[in-house]
Amino acid sequence: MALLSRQFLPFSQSCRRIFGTAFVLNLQRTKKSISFEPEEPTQKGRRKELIEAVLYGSKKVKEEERQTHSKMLARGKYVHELQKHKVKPDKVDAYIELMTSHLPYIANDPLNDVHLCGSWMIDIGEQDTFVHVWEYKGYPGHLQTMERLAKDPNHIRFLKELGPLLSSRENNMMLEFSFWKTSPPKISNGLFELRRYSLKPGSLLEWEMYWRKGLECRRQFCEPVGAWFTQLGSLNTVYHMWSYPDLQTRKTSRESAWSLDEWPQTVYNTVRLVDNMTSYILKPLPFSPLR
Amino acid sequence: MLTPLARLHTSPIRLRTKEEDTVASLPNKANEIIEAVLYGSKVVKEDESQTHSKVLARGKYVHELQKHRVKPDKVEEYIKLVSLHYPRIANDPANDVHLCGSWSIEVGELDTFVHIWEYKGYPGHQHTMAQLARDPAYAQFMKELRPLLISRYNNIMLEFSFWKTSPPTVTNGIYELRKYSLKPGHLLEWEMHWRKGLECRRQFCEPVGAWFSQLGDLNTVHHMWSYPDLQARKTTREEAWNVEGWSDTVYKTVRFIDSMQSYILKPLTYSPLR
Repeated sequence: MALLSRQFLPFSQSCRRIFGTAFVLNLQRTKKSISFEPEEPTQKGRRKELIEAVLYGSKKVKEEERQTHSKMLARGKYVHELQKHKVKPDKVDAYIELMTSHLPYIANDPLNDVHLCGSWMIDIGEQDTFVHVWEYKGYPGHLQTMERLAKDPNHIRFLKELGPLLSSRENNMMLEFSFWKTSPPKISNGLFELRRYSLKPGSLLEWEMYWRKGLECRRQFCEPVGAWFTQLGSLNTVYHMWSYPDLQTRKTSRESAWSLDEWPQTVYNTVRLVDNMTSYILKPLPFSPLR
Repeated sequence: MLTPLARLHTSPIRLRTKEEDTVASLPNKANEIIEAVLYGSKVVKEDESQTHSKVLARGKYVHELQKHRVKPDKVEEYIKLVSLHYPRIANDPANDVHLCGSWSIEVGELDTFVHIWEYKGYPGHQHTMAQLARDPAYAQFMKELRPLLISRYNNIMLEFSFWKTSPPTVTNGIYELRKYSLKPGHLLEWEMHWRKGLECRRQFCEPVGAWFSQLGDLNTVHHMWSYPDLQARKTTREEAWNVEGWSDTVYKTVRFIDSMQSYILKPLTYSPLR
């Protein structure tokens, strides 16, 4: 009995807030009549399930949490790196020149075994900042690429020239979501939008579940480029990239999604799991495979 | 077993059999309570069948808030440069853009300057950007600007429908720019409460503009106020608390906010709002 009431304490504290003391007392009285035998599908059991579902998430999600999220959600074929370079405002031209000569050189060498998804300049948001997304053949591929570059004198020289041009830089390792392959090289002549959501820790699975459903509404109206969740760097972060001809089209295609039933529901369900949202408008650099 | 519940509720429950009733009524009632507590009232939910920007925005213009962090030793040079170029850009009808104002931050992030531009919607923004890209004077301006900056940042935002951005006015006072980062998903509800409360503030001081962000940091609201000086600001804000409804507004809006910032701004000499 003592063991039961100790287990029950978290329930009662939360329940008390929502349902009031009387309800909790009722529940406690119910609980006493259940012994250590396996739970029958009784009314009392169903009530307990209801509360558990409200407070802790459905049992289905709980079962899914026996695996690491990356195994459950990731496509698993590649590992992506998002590099963000904050360039000194007066060194932007020199930076673009340096990147244009060196990044394709790295990407096009088959021995480096790495693919450049794209290189962009942030037009709206943090200005004079550049984003590069690289694709490695898993963590082993990443290790191999890094080792090769460390031995490459051209790359060493590149890093030396890059340093003075930067205010700061950061990077993030991320995995693709299983349902959304990163787009292959494509010329759209439009602009790109990179949205970054910092989720409340622990909500990635739930967020992904709602968002995946809702995405079908958006897909009808515009071109998704890629979606990733972070593994190293800022955690519980989701990046997703979209492509539009211009800002006005972006506005109308986003508005069109609201006419479908699923979309407002998706926004409603996902938005409460998000801590912070940022949206950057990106302009591709001339050598970017996605431009 | 039923007794504790019966004390809370009225007769309908008493009449049914204890098992059926408890379970039948509980999930429905519980669902409603839980939904309202966790998800907000059904009224708000219905409003959310449209994108927030359609529901809240005035829709005529698109505003850009530029924030320039200037190297502390280059501030005078910076002021000279923008004083020369920004009015020129704003007054050229071919650019089709209006400069709402240019300010330096006096309290907050120092050596930082805020400029608010007004475009004729997204198509207007695109047109203006294309024009400037072709303008050699603008290219020269950017070339001279860059060495003076540590970093720069911009935000595209929309005006709230109930609050037109003030036209050019000379007040010879100070300005206050407040930035609220809302918890995601609460813009509609926050706006509803805040709009009501604003009438209390309007009686005492001059609202300059209010915008919610569309690109850049999302779920962010910027609003600007104008006062003769800091003491007047203090007394004005205190007076609002005498009006019924203001304390209620603060209470209702503040719980949707993640963080709040307030900058005191001094207009630059050429600023249309000064």
